[in-house]
Amino acid sequence: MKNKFYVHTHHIASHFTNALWPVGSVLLSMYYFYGTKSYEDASYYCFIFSTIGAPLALASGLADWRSRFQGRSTRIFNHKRFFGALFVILSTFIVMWRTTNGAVAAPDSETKYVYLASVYADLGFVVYLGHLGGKFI
Amino acid sequence: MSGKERRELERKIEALVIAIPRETEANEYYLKLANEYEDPASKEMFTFLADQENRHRQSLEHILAGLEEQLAKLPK
Repeated sequence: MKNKFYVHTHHIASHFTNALWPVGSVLLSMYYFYGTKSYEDASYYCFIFSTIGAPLALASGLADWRSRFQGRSTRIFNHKRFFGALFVILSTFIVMWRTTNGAVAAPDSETKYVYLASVYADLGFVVYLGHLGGKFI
Repeated sequence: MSGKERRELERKIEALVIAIPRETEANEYYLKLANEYEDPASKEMFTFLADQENRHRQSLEHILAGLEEQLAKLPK
């Protein structure tokens, strides 16, 4: 019963996270392409909700790994833990940065390339995590 | 050579580690269905399937133990 709870929580939380971060990244790209500020705002909201789901996805994934897989250490589990933690840290940093500095992604901002690089690096992590998750289905 | 052998063994172990809970879940699923059905034929079929999944799990656990033993013997 507890196992099922962890599995379902992990699937729900990780689907939110895995879906919203790529959508936010595309919206951010559209902001630079079309110059419409609302795309950037929308990307920020996607990043917020994705970041909220990430610790839940990581925690339930760890609980599932400990209960269903007896915490066995294999390459897939090691990568899921490492990149999951990296995603949580980087996404939290991105959201906090954008919250404290609303103009961080502006076309004339000096830090926009660092912001963009962080967002796309996190996109890579979340896609890789989704790919690893697919191996369990 | 031992590096390649180690990686291959680890991949096999990983496949089994992922597969074993699936067998357990399938077993639980068939047992649940066996309990839900009243007619003897359905009950017998799902009990048989649950037993098959249980045997698969046991085989996988046996193979996994062997592979882990092989891995432990390899030089690090």
